[in-house]
Amino acid sequence: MGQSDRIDRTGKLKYVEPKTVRLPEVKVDSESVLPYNKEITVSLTSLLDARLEYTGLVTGKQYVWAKAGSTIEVSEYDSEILLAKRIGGNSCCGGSKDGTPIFQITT
Amino acid sequence: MTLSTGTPLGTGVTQEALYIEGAPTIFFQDYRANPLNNPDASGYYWGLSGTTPYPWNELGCITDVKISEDVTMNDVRCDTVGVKDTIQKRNYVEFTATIVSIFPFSVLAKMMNLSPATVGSGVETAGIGQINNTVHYMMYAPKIYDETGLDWLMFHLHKAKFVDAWELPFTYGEAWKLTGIKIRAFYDDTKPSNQGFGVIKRFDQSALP
Repeated sequence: MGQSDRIDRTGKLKYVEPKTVRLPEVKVDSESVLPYNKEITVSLTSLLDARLEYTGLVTGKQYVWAKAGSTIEVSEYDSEILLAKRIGGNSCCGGSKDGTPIFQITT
Repeated sequence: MTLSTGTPLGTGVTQEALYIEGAPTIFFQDYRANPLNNPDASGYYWGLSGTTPYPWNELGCITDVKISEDVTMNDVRCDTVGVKDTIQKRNYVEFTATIVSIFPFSVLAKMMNLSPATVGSGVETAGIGQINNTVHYMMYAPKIYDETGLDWLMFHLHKAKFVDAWELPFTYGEAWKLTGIKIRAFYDDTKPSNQGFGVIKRFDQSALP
């Protein structure tokens, strides 16, 4: 529609009938696939040849690794502190000054 | 006039004027793991490679280290002429050591044949129960004898375990020492017969060009 079509002789805007636009229907899931309160976990594998028992400092959950190579799921809130744990920081014979990590992330 | 040395004529080899001092470092790893060279280009099985389920352990601060063997030896005797030969059979090869570092318990428990250690925040525990006779380890003992030339040698024993009774004397004025530790290597019938007990290997570019 041109500019002249929308203005009458007196220079006022004409009333234009609005067009009806139909939008496509949007379907909404009745249930979300991912619940909002799902706990995010991290797989941690034990690197120490022993039974490991640690309590998550954030969640208070108790985690037990039966032996070296055992992998369990821990809360991501606890994982950071567990991953920082090291053993052998006071190594006697040329070991790492900072010790070796007890856990590693398993993908 | 040439010096009389008594050296025999013909082809021969003399030994090197190279002397090594000090103990090797001793590492061990669960026998179920594969050795690092499994085998190497010459067919020898040796070296350790730590894996997640089977990490290696180092014996910390060791003294009085020696390696020895046990051999059954029987003379072949003929009453007419006496001993004509001696039949020898190697039974086992053994490392003996005294260990001054007793921590962590996760390693000590293996040396003292205790139950597997339980480790938690600020605490580690091991039980003194019956000895598990099914546990075997690979032993690996490298010794660098020239750090400049990167010359070194190593002992690798295929299938060993900690045997015999240990002692932990609490002597006044001395560090605690775990004595009586013996690491006995048995014949591993999964390895070639020429290396059933283990392998010794030397790396020396200058002496072995």
